[in-house]
Amino acid sequence: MAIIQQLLGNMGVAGGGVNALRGEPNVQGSTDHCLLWHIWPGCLKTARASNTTLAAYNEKWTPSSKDPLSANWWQNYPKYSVSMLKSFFGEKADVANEFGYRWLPKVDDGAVYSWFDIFDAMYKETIKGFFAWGQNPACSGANANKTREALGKLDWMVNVNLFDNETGSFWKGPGMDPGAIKTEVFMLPACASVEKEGSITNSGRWMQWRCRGPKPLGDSLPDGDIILTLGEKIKEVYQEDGLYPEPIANLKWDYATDGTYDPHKVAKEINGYFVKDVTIKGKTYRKGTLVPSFAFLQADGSTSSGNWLYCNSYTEKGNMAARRGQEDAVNNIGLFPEFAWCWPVNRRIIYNRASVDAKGVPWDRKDWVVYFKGEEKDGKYVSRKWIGDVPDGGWYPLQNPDGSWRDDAKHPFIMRKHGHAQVFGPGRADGPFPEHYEPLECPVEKNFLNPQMVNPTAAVYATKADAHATCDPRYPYVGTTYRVSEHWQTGLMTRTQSWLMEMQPQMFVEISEELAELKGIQNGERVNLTSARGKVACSTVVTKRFKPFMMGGLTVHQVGIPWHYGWRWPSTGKEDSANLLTPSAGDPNTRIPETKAFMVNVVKV
Amino acid sequence: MSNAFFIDTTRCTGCRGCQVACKQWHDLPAEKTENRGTLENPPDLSFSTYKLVRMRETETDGKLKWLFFPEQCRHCIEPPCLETAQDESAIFKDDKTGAVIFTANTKNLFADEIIESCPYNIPRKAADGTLAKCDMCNGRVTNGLLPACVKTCPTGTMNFGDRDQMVSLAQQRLAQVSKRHNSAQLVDADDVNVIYLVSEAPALYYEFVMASAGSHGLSRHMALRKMASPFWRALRQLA
Repeated sequence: MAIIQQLLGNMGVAGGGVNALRGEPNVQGSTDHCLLWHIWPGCLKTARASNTTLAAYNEKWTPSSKDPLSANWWQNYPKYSVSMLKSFFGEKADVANEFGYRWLPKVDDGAVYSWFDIFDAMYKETIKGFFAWGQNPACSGANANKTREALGKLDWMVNVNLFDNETGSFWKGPGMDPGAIKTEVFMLPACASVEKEGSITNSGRWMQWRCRGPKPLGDSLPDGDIILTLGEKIKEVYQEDGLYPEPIANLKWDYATDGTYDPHKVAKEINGYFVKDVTIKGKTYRKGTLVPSFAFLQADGSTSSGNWLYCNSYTEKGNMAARRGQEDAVNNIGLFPEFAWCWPVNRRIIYNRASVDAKGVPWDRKDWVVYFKGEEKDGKYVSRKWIGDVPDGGWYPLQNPDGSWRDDAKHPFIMRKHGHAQVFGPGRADGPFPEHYEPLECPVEKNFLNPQMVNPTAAVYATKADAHATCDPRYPYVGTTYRVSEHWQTGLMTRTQSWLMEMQPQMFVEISEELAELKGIQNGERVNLTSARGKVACSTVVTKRFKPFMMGGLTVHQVGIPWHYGWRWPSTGKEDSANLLTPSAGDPNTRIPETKAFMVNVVKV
Repeated sequence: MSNAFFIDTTRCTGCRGCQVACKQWHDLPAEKTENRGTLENPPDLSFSTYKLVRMRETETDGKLKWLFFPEQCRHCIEPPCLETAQDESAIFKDDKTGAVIFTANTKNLFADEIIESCPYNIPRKAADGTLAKCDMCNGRVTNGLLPACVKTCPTGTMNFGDRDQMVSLAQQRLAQVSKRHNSAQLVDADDVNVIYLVSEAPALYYEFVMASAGSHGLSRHMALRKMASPFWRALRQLA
């Protein structure tokens, strides 16, 4: 998709780009702030074991370009990494201890620590403790039987969630023998999103501050309070007799006001402070004041910023994300620049200088994003002024009105090393171009488009719980998973709602009229769906929306299942997760599971 | 001038937000259901279900269509139920909004007769014979709010406003939709305050999309008129 959009010139323009359809409203925010293993906050790289010193780390991850017209914005990398470390360790971070870099865990070079790998390690008993924080892996992850078995091998698990779920209660789930499971499970009740204050960041990178509505019910707490309290206790324990206490003991952890978690303190920490008096371009910024934007961040330890991308979101002018301005920008394309705040520096459309020609004039004169309006003298631009969105760098356009090229301009793709969009580049495990491979499990014995059957770099796992069956007569039908509008994610927040359960009460499988006839299955009949990994009972929905199709001269039947169910609710305990069937196989780059194509059988009960 | 709904089924995605919003606003209990081999649930309108999205799959010229019909009371301009009841304390029409309202006093009516009188098969009775159906969210509407189903609709399927505005919106959409769908039509637009735009033959969506004469063997238009006529009323009273 990214390649197609680039070739179409759909980058940086109004209505262009690729819109990621996320499963949660705050996926952007959580990944910005380090949800994934391979990046630290602000897309900084997780340190590798081979990055032995801060200098080596910064050297490794700071790109350089010899093109004077390339902004190569990541040349600022050390400013952001050091500011982040100052934010983590506060006054404890200094030049002598590499700002605490040595206290941070490093990942082994070449190793992967994704979701699949975590549960694989748990299954192999190398991970012994687990926080399931706002998640329900016993239903949400592919190959859920493996996950459930892995949970049984832990010493302890802490389940932080709104309600008890299939994860917290895995030990009394289907097929489990509670007496034989040693895992100690702690439930920490969290309150719902509307019961706490804080921000979310949507897929358009708008950071939106939200006030608390009703107070949390019962003993439930905002997860900020939970993690703050946990952190305080853990620090206490480490200070007493920790094996290697520095990383924990030295952590800056002052985010409480009157004994409770203060989301404003965290938001300010994320934005960042001047931690000593700093003079930049003749202006002095006092110690303890908030940094106006990431252009002011320093690599010498004089500034902090928990996430450089968010620097400018909470400044001395206030909490930018809490703004609710209703005015659109001058270009009237729906940017609403004073509603909430957008990273970076409230730029609503990144790479927006790709929407203008070399002279700064928009390709699209109607729905333009930025427009260069500097003064002109004798065919040359003599002052800099962009209107519309915050430009992606305020440099002069590449060309003057008379067509002469400027040497003080920058290419538009400022986050790329050389300033240009790239159709392909290094860094993809299966690059440079996308290729068609058959899924790990498929109904045909050959790939009709190229000689390589399956992706040789795909992630597959090798425990006995990772069974696969391709072209296997026991599993002759293609299975796929999807969502319904009545339930959300693993259904924890919807399977407890009677109005929603009225509409979608049971796990179901959709099959074609042809397959129903072939198998002698009546519409509405309960059947078992089986794969090499598990079995799920389903009500049959016979539909015209599924049709058999021809593949390599074979008639292939496909069936579809939603993924929202679990045995914990409804109280019959007879509905369960589609992920009991799906394979633990992931794409080579991100480990996105292959839950859209796998092989199953439909078995009459 | 009364209010009216314009329901543009060509925009409906079957999300059923309207169905839940209706239950939520009226504080109606969920029914105990099971998957019966369709995504449509609960199986029918009931004393505690005023709004139900009907779902039908049909193939015409080898093309699959998944048709959604958000079913509800049509708030007839001359409501046969009201004429049949002849009891303003049980069934009345709010002349300001056009809402046809059933009260708790419907308990005193011959419930089956009222149900039979409806050309769209809408009213449902409780165990004690009290009747219920969509009330146009009259309490919301008289306080300047949209009906709950309209408020929640994310696709533009559910519309509500002055009747003349809705009729004009309906005609405008019909003109657009007709360019691509030969069978597009507004259903019974002159007789009801809930005007549906369908793009296929009405019978493909659900049995009671158009006014029917029930068991009386009359044409649908005749039925609407007959139900409301003094003669019919007299006949019913005799019965």
